[in-house]
Amino acid sequence: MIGTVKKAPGGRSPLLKQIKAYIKRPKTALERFKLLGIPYYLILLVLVIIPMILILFYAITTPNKDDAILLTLNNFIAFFQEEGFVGVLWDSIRISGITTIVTLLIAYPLAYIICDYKLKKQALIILLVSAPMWVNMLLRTIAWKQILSTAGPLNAALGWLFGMEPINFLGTDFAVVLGMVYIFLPFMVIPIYNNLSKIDNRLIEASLDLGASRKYTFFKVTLPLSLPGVLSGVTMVLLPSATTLVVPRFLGEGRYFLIGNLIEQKFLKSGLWNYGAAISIILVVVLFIILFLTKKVDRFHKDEEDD
Amino acid sequence: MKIKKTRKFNFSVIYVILVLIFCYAPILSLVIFSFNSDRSLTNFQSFSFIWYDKLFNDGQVMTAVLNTIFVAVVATLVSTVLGTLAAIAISRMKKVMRDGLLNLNNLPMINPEIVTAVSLLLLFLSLGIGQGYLTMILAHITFTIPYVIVTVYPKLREMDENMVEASLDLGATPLGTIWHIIIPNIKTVIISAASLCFTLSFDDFVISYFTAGTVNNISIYLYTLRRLEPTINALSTIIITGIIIVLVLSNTIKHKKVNDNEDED
Amino acid sequence: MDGLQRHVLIELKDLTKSFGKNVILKKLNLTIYENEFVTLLGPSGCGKTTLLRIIGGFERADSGAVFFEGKDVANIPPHKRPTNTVFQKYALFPHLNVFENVAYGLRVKKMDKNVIQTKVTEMLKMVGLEGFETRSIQKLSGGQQQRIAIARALVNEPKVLLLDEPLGALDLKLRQEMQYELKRIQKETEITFIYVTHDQEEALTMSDKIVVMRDGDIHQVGTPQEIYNNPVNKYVAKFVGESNLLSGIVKGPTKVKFDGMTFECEQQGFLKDQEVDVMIRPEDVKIVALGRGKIDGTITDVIFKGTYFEIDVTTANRVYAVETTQEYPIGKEVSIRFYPDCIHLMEKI
Repeated sequence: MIGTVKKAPGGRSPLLKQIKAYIKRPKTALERFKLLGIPYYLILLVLVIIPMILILFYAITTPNKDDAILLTLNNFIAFFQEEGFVGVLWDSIRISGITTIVTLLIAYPLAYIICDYKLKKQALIILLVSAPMWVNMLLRTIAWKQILSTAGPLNAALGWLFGMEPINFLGTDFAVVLGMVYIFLPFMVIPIYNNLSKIDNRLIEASLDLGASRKYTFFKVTLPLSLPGVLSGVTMVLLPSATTLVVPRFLGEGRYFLIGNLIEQKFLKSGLWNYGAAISIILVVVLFIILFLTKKVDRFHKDEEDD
Repeated sequence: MKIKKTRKFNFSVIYVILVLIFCYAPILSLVIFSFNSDRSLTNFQSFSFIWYDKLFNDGQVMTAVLNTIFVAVVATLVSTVLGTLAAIAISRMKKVMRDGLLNLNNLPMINPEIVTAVSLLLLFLSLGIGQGYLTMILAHITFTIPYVIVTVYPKLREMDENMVEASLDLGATPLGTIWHIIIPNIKTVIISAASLCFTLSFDDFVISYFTAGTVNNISIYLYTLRRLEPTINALSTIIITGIIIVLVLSNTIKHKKVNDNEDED
Repeated sequence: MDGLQRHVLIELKDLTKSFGKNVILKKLNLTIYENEFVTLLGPSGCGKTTLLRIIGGFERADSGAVFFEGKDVANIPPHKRPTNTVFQKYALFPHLNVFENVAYGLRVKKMDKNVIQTKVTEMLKMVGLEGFETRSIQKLSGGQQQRIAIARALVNEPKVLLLDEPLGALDLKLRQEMQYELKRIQKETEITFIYVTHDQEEALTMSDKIVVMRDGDIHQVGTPQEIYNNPVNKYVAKFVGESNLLSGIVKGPTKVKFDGMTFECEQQGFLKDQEVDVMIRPEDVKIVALGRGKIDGTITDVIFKGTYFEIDVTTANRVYAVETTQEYPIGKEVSIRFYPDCIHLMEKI
């Protein structure tokens, strides 16, 4: 009641009062709209933020007999000391690095070529390149396993053409990289295409008009302007290819054990959560370093374009 | 970016064709050998449906397919509804809040899948929730809902802000405004968001693998399979046919719409 | 106008609003009467749109109050206020046809179908768009969309219609046409219009009352004639119409000194030796033969404006803008003079 003087219950913080006042106050429509996001905010909090904090928490702690939790860096140290770790890391970096370069070498010319086409044809080719993504990734990898196996169509064709003995491609760098390039190609083509197709044609005409050759124009105008697209393509290929479980499983013949497989093993087979969490944290850190670098280049470009 | 080039014309066409062959050869091979009467992947003996027959009689595969569809449908419904509502909320926010939320929203999309998978697994383990349908569906909602927001949100920003105010001004309640004004105007992006969710959920492997416990979906089934049989080819062929039908249908609808609009103008 | 008999519709008391560090409205006070065409005039960023949005209920003031017929409406949402708004870019619903757009508010109120039919038809007739019922919104021209937006708001019979730069998107000719149209509709419906614009011509043509705003402050409230003839300061003078603005010093009750000379003017209540701003409208500057006026100068520019000439006369101290129906050759030496009632003194700001 207004007018009756009642002391607020002691110990209540002013913040709480403010929140209470906010809840009681009639809301404008705008404020009501913001409430619609509450389920999503909860999802973000419980299923995205808290789990990420949990990874960090597990990574820097170790379980103890007395249910006590000890802070430790041992999980990270163990990772670097583990036998065979160097092999895993090297294989991951090598395979994902080669995959990224090969993907880029295939994707860039493709994107460049189709930018010359009519708009409808451009859209068609982009659709054709990206449509296989709709098919389950495991099925597409299995298809390559079938094609590359000793009894598969590729060996049959080679034998028929050159009289070659069947080669077991599976378990080689060739097979693993081929599979990864196949899976990740659309992720490289699409950002590069989007970027190239947005470059103002007048810039290229201006360069030619100023006496530059096509080659010079490409290296001095087109390529630098398409760098943000290339970088976002690289981001979308590099880490996923280093962490994929599927390609090594089907095309590696058990000879390839990458970061993803290591995490899988620690979590699902050995139950070493803390250790697995530490590896995941390292991955996230690498991701953010890459993103940070990409943003830097991107910003540099944006500044150039906008100002 | 268009330069008229006459030189290297043939080379560029050949290049595009080669890339397309690379894209479709494996898919074609999957389809062709699904009709082989033999187990062989080199010799096409004769045309038959035996692998389809085997597929439909394989209880494990059928369960995996049904699980996949069930999870995808539930996750799509929840993600689309909650994501759309959230996008509406975000579009009405001040810049600082908005940018913060959108950045947070990107996290599951840029994180390596395996990290998202691990984080969710740790959550469920810590909370002591037994892994199964519930955890799998929650996980699928988590990784699909950001895509709903990035699909729906830009369209909302495009919408004339005053339109919502006009509706409120004319006496509609906020909920009435969402239903009668906002939703009809963003219908198409909601549909594309939903189909994106469905595909992502349908094809997901890593996150399901870490969160589903003993529940199988198609991907987990394939991953844990000991021996690959041409039944897999039959399954692929069915899935590919489904995708082609959906793609063709959506394209004809789109074209029809475009044509209708052109007629009217 | 018999302002005494009018009854007060809206009262704004000490309205303050800021977005972050930007203070948009500074303790505004304003009274709006029934059946008035009120224009909030000012450059972009002066707070006029924010003020309109607070009246409409889309924005909440930080402090101060809005009274509708004596009742504080702070907590009343837009749809429960006796106002309706015509938005800048119309904000018509693109997925509904003309009829459904106009009928929207009535449908929300769950009115009887026949009543809706009659009311919408009547309203479309009023805005001159009979027979457009089933057209799609995208097919209408800007002017037609504008009319629909007005019909959609008016069909709800608000006590106040709020218009936020509704003619901004139209081309000049259509804009002038719609000005008369709006005035006609306002007279016919006898509804109070609160109209926001940065276009002084629009304001002068349509309004019963103009509120000149700047940086969240109200500088002057008055009829178009008052605003035009007696602007309170340099800012208002500059904003409403062309004018020659200069600094002067009051030398007596009816004397002001500028350009090194003392001029006769009308008594305007300033102190002796007070610094003032002086305004002389271009049409009040008379060009006379050399030596016949007070200040000598040369014609330096002549622009034909259709019904008059815009002439620059360069004098020793400044260039005077003059509007006259007589043409002068460039380079001609002339004199200029002003009548005492044409020299308007204003408080310095």
